[in-house]
Order: sequence, then structure tokens, then C-alpha cells
Amino acid sequence: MWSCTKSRKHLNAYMDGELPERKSRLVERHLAGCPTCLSKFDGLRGLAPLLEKDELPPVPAGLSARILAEAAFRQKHKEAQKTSGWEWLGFLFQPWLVRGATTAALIVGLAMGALMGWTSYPRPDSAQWMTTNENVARNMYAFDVLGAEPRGSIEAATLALLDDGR
Amino acid sequence: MPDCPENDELLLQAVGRGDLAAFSRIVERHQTWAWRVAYRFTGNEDDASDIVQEAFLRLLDASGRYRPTAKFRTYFYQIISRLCLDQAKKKRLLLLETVPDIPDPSPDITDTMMRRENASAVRAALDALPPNQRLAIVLRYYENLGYEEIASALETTTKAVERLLARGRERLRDVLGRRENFFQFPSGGFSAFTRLKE
Repeated sequence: MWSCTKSRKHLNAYMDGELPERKSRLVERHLAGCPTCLSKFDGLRGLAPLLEKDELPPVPAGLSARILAEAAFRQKHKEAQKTSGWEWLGFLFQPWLVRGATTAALIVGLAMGALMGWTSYPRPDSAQWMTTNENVARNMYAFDVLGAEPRGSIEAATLALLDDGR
Repeated sequence: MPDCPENDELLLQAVGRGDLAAFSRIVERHQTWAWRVAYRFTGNEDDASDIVQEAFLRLLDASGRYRPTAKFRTYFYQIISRLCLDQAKKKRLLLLETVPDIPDPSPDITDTMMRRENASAVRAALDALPPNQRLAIVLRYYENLGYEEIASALETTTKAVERLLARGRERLRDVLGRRENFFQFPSGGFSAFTRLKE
């Protein structure tokens, strides 16, 4: 005989008549001897009459007319496109094509970004042609903004130190 | 009006060839149950109207590509189900905020008021379900579909449908069971079970 856990697992399918014959008999046998599971089963069965209490209004009067009017409009629009020879434009706005184009643009963008990032970093061997002095000069150039420093200021002292180093 | 074939699948193929009379016949035939599913799911006339209209127009757009490999109804249930779930996604926050309050019963309550109150309680309980559980319950109880058909409409497996229904029922019982005197089983105990089996 099935346990309560196993029977309860199949109660819904049993109630809906979706359980194979053999399993149905096992559930029935369990229910006949288990008041707890039987009360649970009764509770499940009790839902159907409750759900019937949800009221259903009639189909709105103008609904089908609205649908048919919109359908006629679309049909007319389609035919107008056919006769104007611009029918192929509709092809461009197919959802799958739009999605595909978006994905392709994203991939190309990412690839270009990665390529630009890769080439913008100096590789270990790329600066070897510059001598030490040239590197210092480059650093000096970076401090060019301090060119108008007043005598005796921190900026002037910094530039003097860099000059000494050269 | 040109002669319309009676079979839904043939009608839809005729629509695909541009036959609007066939489309009109399809609308006439299926709008009632389409409305029923959409309204039971949304509980709102405007939303249900929008879903039904969009479902028929999608059917019109897809008619050119339709191949009668699946039954028309199954195909249409799929369209409506997708639209219902999309609509629920859009309205998720709103639904959580506006589950209607169940009014307190007053001493001089009439039958009509009682019925309305019960209907609104059922509506609130249905609205409180997650969309896929609600749709499974609607298709099972109001459309009387089997697990296979529900699975096909929801594009899932029969096992998943069984789980959705079990969870949905559990939740409905919890919500409705909180109301005093509301959850009355048709009859209790073993006698009910034996009557059922007869």
C-alpha cells in the first residue's frame, strides 16, 4: 500500500482523471484507509464549485466588429504595399531580422572595442627605441603646464629636480 | 460572401490566402471561448478585450505561415496563453498592489450581495496566484482541458502542469479557506469518497 506522501503526490492527477488505472487503484486503496488524506482530497474537490462563483460578463458588444475593422485595415495596408512595390520593406522589420541585426551590431561593437583596447596599451617591447633621456624629456613635456611657475614655488623646485636628474 | 469551409484549419489557411470572410467566420466561432479564457485570467473587461483582439490579429498575421500540423484550438490557445502571460508580466506590480479587499459581511446581507462577495473573493484568490498557475487553473476548471492540452498551450510538460495545478490549488485553498463559512466541502469523509466512486 502507498504511503501518505506518495498518495498525496498523485492526488491532483487522480482527481483530474489523469492517473493510469493501476496507480489510481493504489490511490483509492490508500484513501479508503486514511481519513487525513481523504479530507485533503475532499478539500481539493471542493474547489470546483467555489470557482464557479466567479462571474463571467458577456462578450462586449462591439468586440468582433473592432477586430474585423482592424483586420480589414491591415489587409488593405498589405495590399497597398504590394501594389506600390514596397512590400520588401516589410521584410526588413521581421522580428527575427531585427533581433539578428541587433546581436550582430553588438558583437561587432564589442570586437572593435576589444581591438582598440588591445592596441592602445604599449607592449613591453614597444618603447625600447626611446633612450632614458628621451623618456625624461617626455615626462618633462608632461609638466609643460607648469612652465609659468613663479620663482621659488613647489612647481619650480620640482622642475629643477627633474632637470638635475637629466 | 464566398463559400467557407467548415473546418477551422481550412478556414485559417483560407485566411492566409487573404480571405477575410473566413477570418470573420473564425472570429464568430471562437470569440466566446477566447473571451472566457482572457476574462477568467485577467478579471478585467478592458484587458480581456485587448487580449482577445490582439490574439485574433496575431492569428491573422500568422495565417500565411500556418501549417495544419496542430489543431486550430491548440494553436489558438497557445497564442492566447502567451498574450495572457505577457499581460501579467506588464501588470505584475499593479496586481500585487490591487488585490481587492474582501468586504466585511454586514448583518442585513442579501443573497445578491452574498453572491457578489463570494465572486469577488474567488476573483481575489485567482488574482493572487502567480500567472502560470492561474492560467493552468483557468484552462483546467473553466475550459476543462486535459494535462496534455494545457501543457501544449503553456508550452511545457504534463508533469509541470500537474505541479502548477497542485500549487495553484493549494494556494487557492489557503486564500479561500481564510474566509469563515466560505470553504464548505460538498460533503465530508468516506461517504463522499464512496459516492464519488459510484
